[in-house]
Amino acid sequence: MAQPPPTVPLALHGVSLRVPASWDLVGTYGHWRAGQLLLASERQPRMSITWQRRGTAPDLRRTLRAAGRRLAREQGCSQSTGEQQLAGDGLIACHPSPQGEVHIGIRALSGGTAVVWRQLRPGPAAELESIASACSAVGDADPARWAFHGLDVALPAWWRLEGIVHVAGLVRAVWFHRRGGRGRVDQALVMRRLACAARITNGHGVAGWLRAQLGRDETLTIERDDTATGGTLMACARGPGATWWRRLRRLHEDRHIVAWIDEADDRLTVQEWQGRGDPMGCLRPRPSSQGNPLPSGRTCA
Amino acid sequence: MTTALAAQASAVPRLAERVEVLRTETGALRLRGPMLERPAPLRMVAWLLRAPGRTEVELDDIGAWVVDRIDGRPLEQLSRELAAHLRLSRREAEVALADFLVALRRRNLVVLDATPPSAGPGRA
Repeated sequence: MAQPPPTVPLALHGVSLRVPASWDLVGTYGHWRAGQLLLASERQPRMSITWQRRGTAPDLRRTLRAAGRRLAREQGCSQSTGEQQLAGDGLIACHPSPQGEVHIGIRALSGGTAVVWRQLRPGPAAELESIASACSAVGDADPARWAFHGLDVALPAWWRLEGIVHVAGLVRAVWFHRRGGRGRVDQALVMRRLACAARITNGHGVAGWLRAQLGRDETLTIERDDTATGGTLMACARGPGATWWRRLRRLHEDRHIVAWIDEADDRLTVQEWQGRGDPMGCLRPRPSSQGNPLPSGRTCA
Repeated sequence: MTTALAAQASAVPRLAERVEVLRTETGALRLRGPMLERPAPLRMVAWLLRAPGRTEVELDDIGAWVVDRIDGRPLEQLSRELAAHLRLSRREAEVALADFLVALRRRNLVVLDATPPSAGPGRA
């Protein structure tokens, strides 16, 4: 019996999945309430995953039929040959096409989240079923895991991803926090993951590299630096107030920085937090854990 | 353009005709293109603006590493070797390599053969 392919976690906007390790995330669109992920392998599109949070129970059959019509329009597939149950709370439909069978699946997950999986080229139903069955979603007020492009962090409730930049050798993601999900942004988090850590630091260490990145009038205070032994660096970059009013009141802007190097991948990860309240703890995933435990304080490996 | 180039996995990059590869005293690698052939009015403008007479680029160590391996290897093999050298993912290496080659091709320093050459390395 053939072994299932190894999988890796993929988690965005409160939707957690496990996808084959050979697949690449090539497109991310949308936000917490609704969005789409595009997956590809070997330069070929493989699967589209869309989600929508409405707060009410989704009409699975209606959504599945709408997705089927779209499949017929875009990929030239025929009408569905029938619907079957998927993971107890969903449906899967098969659409024949000249190249083979294309499948669409839908599940109603917690928090009123409907997730639709659509194969972008013919493939076995088991492939879609295994991905859909392992999927989970969290509600609006729940902590969420974010795992994509090598980043893997678990954030408390009400953190929302605002943007991702992914180019060769660099991933940068920005999250904003709004208390209760409404009102003004009170905290911001930026995670960067850079390839070729040894070349970037160039013998000056992470602290030296961070100093070179500082803005004008910024000073860096190193609170802890264990990067030489595979640990983390914790620092605070202090700059002048962002507005005249803040500068007149002699207020500063502090960026709390945590950085570490993954020796195995030669990647430098930099976590930057700015905002009100207690600074965010280190988000470095523990190597032994399958998932990333939620941060419980300013402690770190 | 980068994506289209990355999709040509079997294409073989080679240095364009009359492109010279020079090593500087500091060990950096320079690619020097041939003298630019400008029409007479543009020659005057170029002389007034002190525009360089040829394309010349200095590569960093990663760029030099790639150019050293432009010897008839297809893009796919180059990207695989780059991924192993820099510990990048396969896709990252493909995109980075394609970006680099597009930049060199825009300066007429590199050409891309659709099929592997039948005899000998393509190095100029």
